[in-house]
Amino acid sequence: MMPKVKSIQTDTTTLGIRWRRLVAFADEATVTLLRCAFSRNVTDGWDFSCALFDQAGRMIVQPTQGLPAFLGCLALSVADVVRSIPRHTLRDGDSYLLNDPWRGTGQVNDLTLVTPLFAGRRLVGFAANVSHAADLGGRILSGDSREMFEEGLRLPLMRAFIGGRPNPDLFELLRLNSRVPDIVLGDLQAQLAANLMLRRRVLEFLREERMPDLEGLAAEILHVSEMAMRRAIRNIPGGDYRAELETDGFDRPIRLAAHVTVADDRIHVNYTGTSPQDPRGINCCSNYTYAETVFPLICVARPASLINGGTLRPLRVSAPLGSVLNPRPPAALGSRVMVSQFLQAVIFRALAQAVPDRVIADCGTPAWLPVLAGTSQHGTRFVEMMFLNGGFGARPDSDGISCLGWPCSFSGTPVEFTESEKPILIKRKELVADSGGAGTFRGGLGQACVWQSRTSSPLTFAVRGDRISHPPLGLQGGLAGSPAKVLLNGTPVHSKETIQVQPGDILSLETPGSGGFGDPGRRARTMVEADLADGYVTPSAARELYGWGRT
Amino acid sequence: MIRGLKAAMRLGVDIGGTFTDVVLLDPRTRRLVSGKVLTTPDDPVRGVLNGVDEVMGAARASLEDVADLIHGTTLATNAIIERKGARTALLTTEGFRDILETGRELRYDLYSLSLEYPTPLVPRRFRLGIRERVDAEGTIVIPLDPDSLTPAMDAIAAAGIESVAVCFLHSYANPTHEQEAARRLRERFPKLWVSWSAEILPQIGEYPRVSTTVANAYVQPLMVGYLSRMEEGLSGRGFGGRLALIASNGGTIGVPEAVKVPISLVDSGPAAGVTATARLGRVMGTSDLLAFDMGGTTAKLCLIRNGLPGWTAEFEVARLERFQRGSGLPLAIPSVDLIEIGAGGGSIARLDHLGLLQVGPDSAGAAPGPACYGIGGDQPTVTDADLLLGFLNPAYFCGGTLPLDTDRARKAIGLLAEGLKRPVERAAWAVFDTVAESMANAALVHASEKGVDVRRTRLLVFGGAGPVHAWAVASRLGIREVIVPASAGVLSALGCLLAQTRFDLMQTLVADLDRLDVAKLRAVAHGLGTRGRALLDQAGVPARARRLRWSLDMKYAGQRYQVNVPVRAIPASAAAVRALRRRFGQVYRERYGREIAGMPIEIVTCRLVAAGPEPRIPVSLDNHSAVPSALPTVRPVWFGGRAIRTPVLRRESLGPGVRFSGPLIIEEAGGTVVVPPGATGRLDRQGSIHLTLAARASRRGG
Repeated sequence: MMPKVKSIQTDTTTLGIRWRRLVAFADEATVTLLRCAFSRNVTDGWDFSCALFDQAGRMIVQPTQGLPAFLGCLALSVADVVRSIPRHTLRDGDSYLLNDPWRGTGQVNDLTLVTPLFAGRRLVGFAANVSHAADLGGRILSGDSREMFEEGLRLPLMRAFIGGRPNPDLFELLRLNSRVPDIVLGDLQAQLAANLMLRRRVLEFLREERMPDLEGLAAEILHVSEMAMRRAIRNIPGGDYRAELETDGFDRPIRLAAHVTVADDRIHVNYTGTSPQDPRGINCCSNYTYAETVFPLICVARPASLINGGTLRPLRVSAPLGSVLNPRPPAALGSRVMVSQFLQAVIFRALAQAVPDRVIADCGTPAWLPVLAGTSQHGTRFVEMMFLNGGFGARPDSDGISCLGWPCSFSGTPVEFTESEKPILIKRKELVADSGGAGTFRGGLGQACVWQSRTSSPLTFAVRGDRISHPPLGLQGGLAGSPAKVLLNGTPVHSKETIQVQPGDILSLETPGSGGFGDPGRRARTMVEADLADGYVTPSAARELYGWGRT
Repeated sequence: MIRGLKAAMRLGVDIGGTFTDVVLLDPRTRRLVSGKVLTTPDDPVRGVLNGVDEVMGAARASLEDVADLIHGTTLATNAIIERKGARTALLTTEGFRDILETGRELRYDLYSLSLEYPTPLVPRRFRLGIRERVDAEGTIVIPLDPDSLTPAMDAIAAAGIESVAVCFLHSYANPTHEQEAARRLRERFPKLWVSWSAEILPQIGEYPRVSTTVANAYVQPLMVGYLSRMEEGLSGRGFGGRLALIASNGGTIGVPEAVKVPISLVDSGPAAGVTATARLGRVMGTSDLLAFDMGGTTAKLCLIRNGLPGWTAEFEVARLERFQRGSGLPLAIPSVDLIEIGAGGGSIARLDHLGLLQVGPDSAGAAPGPACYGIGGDQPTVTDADLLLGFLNPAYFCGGTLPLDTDRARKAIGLLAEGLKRPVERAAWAVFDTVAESMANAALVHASEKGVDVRRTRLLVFGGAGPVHAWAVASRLGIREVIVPASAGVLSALGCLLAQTRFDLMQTLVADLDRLDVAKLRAVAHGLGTRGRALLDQAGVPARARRLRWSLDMKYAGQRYQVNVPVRAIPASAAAVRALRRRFGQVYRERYGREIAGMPIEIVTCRLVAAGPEPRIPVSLDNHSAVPSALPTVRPVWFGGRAIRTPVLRRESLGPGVRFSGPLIIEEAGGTVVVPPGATGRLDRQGSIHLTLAARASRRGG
């Protein structure tokens, strides 16, 4: 599995064992955060990521499960934090909190917690994670803010834990400013528990291996991953590839233009030509743009090595300052995913010119991530995100997948747990027939989720979706998937505004299906028939799109 | 009954993909008699009866004197993997039939564009929505609509459905709709199998519950048929004892429970082997082990730490990406945490389109079998390679009951050798090498998932093919100590006899510790205790031998996940509740490093493990077969590129304490132990062989 590199001193078996163990530690930290957390966006949506860093803040390993967007941001933000804190002021037991959108992940709600790891008095590395906090004040997370000041507290880089104990001033500040302080502070404790789990395992590991720190091992691991990525990039024909697409936007469509340059063993993505920053909360800061851009590049290159900071070295991303992908303060950012989750599609379309058999048709992104707020049937206040995924794009050799977390690996909101905690009745959560784009290989289906308010007080609902008028497109002759829909009592509502849901109201959401791949006329008859028997495709669509029944 | 159990003979049976192993424990002679016969895949019962006949004959004993027969089987697992289960339908709440397909919506590989998920066991066309609705409190929101059941039942009739899963939302809180639907189904179709989710898994969380219930329905007709044929065949031979099975939790369950919840038999065979390994490890004073079981079809690996195997509350079957969590079908049943790969003696070797050698995961199994069995197989397998390399004795495979044909093996491996442009023995070596590599890789992944450095464990090896390959796997992993217990070839069958009767019972109740209604908690516990005692009674466990282990799943209020807090007794006083609070804090701290001060605590679930006694390990595990001992011989054995003249001994000729060094082959009826050059070994008092490999010397065969 691991490539042999000349400069590596350790034999590959030993390096492999050590490397995999570090990954296992990151996995254990991930499970710790998941299991200790209080917010449903963590426990049900997996909206967080953990990773391990060396003394210089370089990301050595990332876990098996995490959000590529968060992991890409961590690769930049932890190095930034490490650079900005004088080494001699770092203390064992302290943990630093970062939520500045322009330095972290592009949204105040994402809390990045960085813990220096000490073996005795020696700094050996950093544990870090980023987790979406349920509420930091301001308006409910949404797309309709006009400045970031509406979106909650922006904190300076500061210690959240001092000597292992909560920083009382910060905790009190958060408590006073959050609608759900117990959940937010409980999650912060879970974030610390995850970093301390990594600390415990790394220190045991260093003792067992008789290594003073992670430096030497980190250098080897990063080198192996970098070389694997460079080799993988050489398998993509060099050249300039351009693509563009348009999204619904808030009040007006957003244009995303990518210029992908593959040169020898490097890739540069330039977003010149992209729309200027938007007056509403759908802007995406440069760290997050970077993360959502390197992710599809790795998917296409598929390096024969585990992914870490080394993988990212041959990749460069630039977006014009003042654009929707690199906004200036105080741009509003609350629904950045309504733009960022299109980036993989525009990258795939560009690379389809170079490696048409290694990309997929448009996915049903962005995931619907509405925020629901109100008072539960148990009398407690809640502000919680819901996760509804669309279809995953059709492939050159196989159908897409229905309802899959992509590009962020969100899990879907479960029905029974949700109803046990929130005053709603979910009336339907089901695939939508004909929502997968037709093609030789059909797109994955989107889902309909219909729920009704069962409470006597109004609920606040920040809608947060896109693709109402821009459905996911197909590739190589494949057709588009179905667009998204959002209806309140049967009437369409704005896809990014915050609305009030009155007692008894019925809210209906449909996530987009994904695009198809290849000419639908060439789809195997047996596959069309199976789709019909299972109701993934209706008879009228089969006749119209696949010519079924004509021959 | 008690007297009977002590004095009577016991049979353990492990049905693998290739071999069925039978072990008879005879307390009168304190002896183990074992046999290994080919599995009969078309009807595994025949193989079991063949094996039982053989062993009873060798022991000159009668089945009438056998008190119990306990067996492990991978039949349920294989039915799911090979999609050989019943034609199954799902009745579910209208509007929610796709939960089975969309699952958690979670990707198992962050960077793969070629992700695939297993096709649901029930295709969408047979997932039928029923108009009904219960809410989270168990209140009926929409009464079960009989008019929507009728078309569903018509569809079931039209499609020739054999088994139905019923899973409605929130049925754990109120099962009446599921019960009513099941009743109407049985009324109209008396022969139909019906599984309802509140009976299989009364637990919140729609996806794990529906997935488990559907899998249960899918395997039920097959498993019930199998069990009744087994009962019939055994009673026809005079067996009047108790027939029991190993469940995936490593304990034993009787036929009535197995018929009701056959899904709890998934991975039952491997669980028995692991149970035996853990027990043996404790006897040997070795608590950190890597158990390595290699049979004819698959190899299983399980890490044992502090004398106990890992446990998992959710088990995945039929993974499409063999090492990727999330790529299989989840079953929410407590089970032993092990990794299984398609690498066994019967694994077929071939060259792929790039001309590279691939071994497995498909196996020639018992039919047509490896080429050297001479029963129809002609494809090259691992066993054929082992034979050509001199590891196996063609006249003493399975104690000579299954003579091997070297010419056929040579012909089969010869086809590979042509493609590889190498001499036959070199090609055989490449097969041996490749299969060792893939097993070592699986071991590494499994140990790494637990964060364990595999080099610091010892390899405890068993299964028919295990002791041939153990040294090669160990040296790749940097493990220097290999233990081959006596009866290694039939250890899983023996494990069946070491397993406890065990029932895992649970009841959800959500209670705030600050306002705990002690009487209510004790009423829940009382109910569980009554059920547990009744189940143990049914299983013939005497009152004095009962072991009841209590625990509570607890969490901070607002968390989703709980930690399991073992308690000596269910708290009855305010002081006991305070102690419970401290105990929770302690367990939480041990697990996650720290407590959260001032956060309210909740009890979520009360659990009871009701178990019988741990059966004793017989004084000697030494295996007695009727075959007479032979004099030591010498034969050429290939280690890497060269053949070395290697002494060959019979295991029964070695006495306790004896020391030896490699190269050496030690043969016994149940298997062959290969001691590579440079390794040293000794036999301990329990009859286990301990090998110490030369540091790195044996990599690539020395």
